[in-house]
Amino acid sequence: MKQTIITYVKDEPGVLNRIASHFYRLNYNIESIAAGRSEVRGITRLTIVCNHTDDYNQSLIKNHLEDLDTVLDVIDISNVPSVLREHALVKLKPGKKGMSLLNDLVSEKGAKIIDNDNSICIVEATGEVEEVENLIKKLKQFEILEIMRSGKVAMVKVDQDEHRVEIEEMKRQKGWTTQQISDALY
Amino acid sequence: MKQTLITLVENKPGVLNRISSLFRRRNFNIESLVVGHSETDGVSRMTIVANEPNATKRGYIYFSLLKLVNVIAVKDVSSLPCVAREFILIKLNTSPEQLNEVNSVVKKYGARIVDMGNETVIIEATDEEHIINELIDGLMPFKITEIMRTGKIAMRRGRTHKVSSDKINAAPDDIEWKPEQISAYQN
Repeated sequence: MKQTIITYVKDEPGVLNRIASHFYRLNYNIESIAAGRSEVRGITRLTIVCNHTDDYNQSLIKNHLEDLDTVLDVIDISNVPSVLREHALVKLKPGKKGMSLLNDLVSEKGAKIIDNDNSICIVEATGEVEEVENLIKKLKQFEILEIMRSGKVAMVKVDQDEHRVEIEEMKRQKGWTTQQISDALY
Repeated sequence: MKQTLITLVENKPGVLNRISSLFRRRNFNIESLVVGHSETDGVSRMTIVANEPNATKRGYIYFSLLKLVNVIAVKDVSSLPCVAREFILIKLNTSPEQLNEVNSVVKKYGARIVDMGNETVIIEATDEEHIINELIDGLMPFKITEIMRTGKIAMRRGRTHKVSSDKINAAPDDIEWKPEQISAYQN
């Protein structure tokens, strides 16, 4: 099973290096990593996906990440229902006949053609990971020139959020981290 | 000036470590970095945005990336016509009365509602960086509880030549780069 981790880190030079060398030291392959600004200034949010079946390694990864100095919080959401989306850009050459076919396919799948330069199109797709994969499979019938996929981006689902007030209280009173809370709740 | 680099790398453990320690060693700040699968199996594609005012140092970043063993190809697209998009997930706390207002903001920026509960909404959007910033400003009146934003992902417009397999196998040290070759490769 794939392990998905949300991590909050300080926005400083060298943070990514620490996390990357941590994975390198343990010899784990990162399947994807996506970093970006979060709702708090100066804090970056990472979504890391690793491919590890065994529970021991999963907890090892999590615990080691927590030990890092610049890491503020680690949440393992592999078993929590969450929104897991991906963003992809595909450059392809549909040719004269394929253009209408491409248009149909794109509108059916909720993707967008964002650029058309001398009949070389760039298609933008977002969606659940499988949706994006299926779309790319279907686009293979045209001549694909380039694919750029962002890593998986995760956020815990809304339905799981009914405990939010409870969570905030726990955080304040006991000084728990989010992971401890999610362990307690789910 | 911001420098955008498209990099093709081998998909192996430790590759990200090499690239990030290169930036750390030379003390360049990475503004954003996105890694994902590319059209070839075993090859990952990165979009790196660095913020370096000095033009010589910008060239230095390019050539030191090219020298790394696991790096297959590097392309500096800062001044080339390209498409650069960003992806964002926002979680909002709203009351049911505010839902209409949220909906109108979401429609205005071409965003989508992905998940909805009693008091919370998750919104997804993809666009260029400044429009994403505008979207966040537009949603400021509502209570934003979480934001997850990816960095820029970039792709050049029009036809570009594919990376040939010889280039994948060639060790970077074996290639003697002449200035005209370099400029040809960059265009």
